Amino acid sequence: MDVSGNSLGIVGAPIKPLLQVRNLAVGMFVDATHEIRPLRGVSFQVHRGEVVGLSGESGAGKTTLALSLMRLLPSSFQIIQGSIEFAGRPLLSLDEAELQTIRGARISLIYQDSAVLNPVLRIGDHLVEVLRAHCNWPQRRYREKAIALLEDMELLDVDRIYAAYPHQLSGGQRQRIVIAQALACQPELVIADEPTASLDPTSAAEIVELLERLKQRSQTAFLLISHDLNPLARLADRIMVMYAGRIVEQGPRGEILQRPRHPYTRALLACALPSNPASDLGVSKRPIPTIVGSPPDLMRIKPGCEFESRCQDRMDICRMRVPEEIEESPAHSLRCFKFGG
Amino acid sequence: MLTSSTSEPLLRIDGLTRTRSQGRWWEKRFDCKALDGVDLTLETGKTLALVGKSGAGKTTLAMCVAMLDKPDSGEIWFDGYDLLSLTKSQHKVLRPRIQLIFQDSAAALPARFSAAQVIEEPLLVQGRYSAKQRSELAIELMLKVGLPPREANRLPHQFSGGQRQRLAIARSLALQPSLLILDEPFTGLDLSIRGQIVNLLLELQAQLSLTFLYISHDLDLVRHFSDTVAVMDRGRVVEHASARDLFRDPVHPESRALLACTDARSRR
Repeated sequence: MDVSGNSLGIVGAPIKPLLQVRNLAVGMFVDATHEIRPLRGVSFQVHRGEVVGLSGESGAGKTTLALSLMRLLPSSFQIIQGSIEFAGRPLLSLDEAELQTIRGARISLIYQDSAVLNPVLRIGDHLVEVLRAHCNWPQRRYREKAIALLEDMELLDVDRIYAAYPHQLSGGQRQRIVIAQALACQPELVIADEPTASLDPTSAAEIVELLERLKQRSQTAFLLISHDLNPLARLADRIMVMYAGRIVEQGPRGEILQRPRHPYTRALLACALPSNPASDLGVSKRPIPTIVGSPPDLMRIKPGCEFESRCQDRMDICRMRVPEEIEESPAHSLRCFKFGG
Repeated sequence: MLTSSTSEPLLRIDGLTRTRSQGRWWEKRFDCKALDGVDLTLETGKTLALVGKSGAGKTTLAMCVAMLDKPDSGEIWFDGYDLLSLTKSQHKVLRPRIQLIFQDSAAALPARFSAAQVIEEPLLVQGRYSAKQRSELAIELMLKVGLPPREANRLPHQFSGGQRQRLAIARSLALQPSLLILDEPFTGLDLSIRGQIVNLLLELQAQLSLTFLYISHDLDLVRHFSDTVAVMDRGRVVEHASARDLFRDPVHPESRALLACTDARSRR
């Protein structure tokens, strides 16, 4: 594996990004005549060792993006335009055999739901299966590596867990197994699709802490997808906000959280904290901030900015065309006419 | 809307115990106390939140109150009636007054019913009103929860998650209940939509003086949404306090542990 130093915080030319997505658009035929566009012109990059957070409401295209990067889109979906470059190789023009050497080994996916574990396979077999697919080792070594992985996941009593079936573990433990599978071959990029969504807050907080420690220990880059901004606020170096198939704002974590520009990002952050612990200790049965309306139906997309109908700051031009991506600062960009567009 | 504190609370639970026999058929069976002497009270028009880890007994307690599960011992008093020793006719009158709203509205609503049918079904089961009155009431309820009445013929899956939760709320209000049991009603909703549903329930509570028994994991929302909070751990209520006191000064170690994990989450 090539380790080219941690590019954290280094912006600009000299280091090539690990993942470069340019103008990616994905279409899906609902029936013979109706096509929807779950992704429309998505561009971003991920550097080595960087944690990039991706947030947005359901239907914004987060999972479609994750599956496009893995080249695992269902057959009804089609990549219409754009390019995905991973470690200098064009992912979209690789054949299935070449993809097999990347998928699971160099890019891996942590699924949302630990139901992906096979109920009739023991935990150890799940890990050995991944290792066997990508490494050619003597039999003995698979087990050693699997046990080491379970230890890395901070599980107790690893020998018992190695021999256990998925249903014998708690939700938090199962999620750790899914993470262990994804990290088994020391991939360069891990895509984590809502890794804490199905867990209760106590286990979710533990998983976030585990990911935080894994991030410090390894050179792996993460694309962390979550509709909840809390885990992103703790883990991400950069945050991208997605709405109706476009990235509407992306920038360093601090800038997005403290100085959000796009009206959608600002509204989303206002919703995220119904009560600020510092200012409001009392029981407040006051209405909490929301965004009026609901995300657009992809079947009935109108010209212009997708957020226009829910936006507080809408102008006439918003209805006419989609704003271009503008750079607020070198690492911070957004799509909104209020800031130039 | 407010009841004076001297009057009998709407819901009073005394020493409720529910034992479950555990272990698979090839294993030795052992008893597990899902509820272990729970005492709680809930005033009319107020919200009591049940919080605690998974497996603490929150849902078992709610199911006992909803008369869907039978406790081994203890008493549940609802509006002056002992729910555990009701006659058949009392049962028929009281049951509609306690309604449930679940987390997964897509699974909780009948998939092949139109929105109007979904709302009318409880009325039909109870044999209330004529067909015309029922459909009028369905339209009225749709307006009340913020669903456009022209969508009355759509099926549940044609609505978005937030709209489906509105539909579930309309259905639960059809029989004019006094107590709503809300089992994680906001989980799985997007942030921007979650607030709308929270606000809708707060509004309905003020309007109809509804009482809520609210089960949740999300302590930020509990702080905002409820009047009193009961922290549960392994079948017991370990702390029952007003939301203000609990969040300012949690006493029991379990409450502290729960609060610590939200504090950690909102640390920025």
